[in-house]
Amino acid sequence: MALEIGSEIQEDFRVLRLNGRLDTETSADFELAAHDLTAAGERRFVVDLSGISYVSSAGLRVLLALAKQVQTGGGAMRLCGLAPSVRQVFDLSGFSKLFMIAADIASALGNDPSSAPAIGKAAADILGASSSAPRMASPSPSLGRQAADLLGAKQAPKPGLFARLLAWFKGQ
Amino acid sequence: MWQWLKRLFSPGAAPAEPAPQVWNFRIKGGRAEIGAVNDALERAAMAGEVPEAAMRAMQVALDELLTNAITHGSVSLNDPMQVDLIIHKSALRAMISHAGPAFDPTEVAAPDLEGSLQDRQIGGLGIHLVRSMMDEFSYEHADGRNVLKLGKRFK
Repeated sequence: MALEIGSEIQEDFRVLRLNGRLDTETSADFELAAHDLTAAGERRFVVDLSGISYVSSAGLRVLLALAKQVQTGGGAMRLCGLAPSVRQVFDLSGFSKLFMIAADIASALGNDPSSAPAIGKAAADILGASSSAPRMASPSPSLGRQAADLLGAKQAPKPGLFARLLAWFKGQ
Repeated sequence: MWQWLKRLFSPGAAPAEPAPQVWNFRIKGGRAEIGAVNDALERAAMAGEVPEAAMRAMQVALDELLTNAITHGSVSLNDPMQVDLIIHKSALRAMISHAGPAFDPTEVAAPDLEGSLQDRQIGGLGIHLVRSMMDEFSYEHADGRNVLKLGKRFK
């Protein structure tokens, strides 16, 4: 199989599911697909590599180019589902530390470092706790967290098994 | 069956190691042909007893080296690149032979693997992957052709 690209919106990410191999022959197809999306203004991507059998440097080049473009545009790009041999290529090339790599799509979506503080802040605002309140010289850093907990917002960076199962069922 | 019969009628003879399986390819310059070689390797490895990790490493190495040969060598319809894949009992080997100016990829300098996302370059990464993933990686220039040998052991 050369390369199939599945594309869908999940939460506020464009999720691309790749199937086949990401090599000299196929990486141009991925580059074109990614170009169409970034040209349309999309800047938040999760690339699911669980259906990819191997990635060569041609595939790494296209992933790097997309990540650079997305980062420049203030977006986010996450990878998930790397098979052991794909992971090895990422490790050997030093790419593992350049990308945020999650186990699967659910954790790639849930692992948003920017959304958790935002929820906490929103919850704190709702509860009327403001850092500009006169008597709060040094606002407690845990206040946002407590407020978020009160509102039932999950702050754990990795969703639990149940949440992931739920996400999986939703995705079916 | 024949192996078994032969063994039955030659008492005392040690069981011979199975003969390596060999596949030959002729590549005329299309990139899709590289994928075809790797698909054939995958089918052969899956049918045999080659572990997936060894097969994937060889696929990456072939993609890198065959791409380099097509890009920088003189691979053409009249003078195709030859690729031999050999599956031994405990190793996967490949021999690549193509016309073109002498170029020894085993001498390519290691790339810089550090740096931020924006600073990272891709140059030299392919050969670095081949060197890191293969147990054997050798080059010679013979009869006007570049000859590369690759080997990945397993078991």
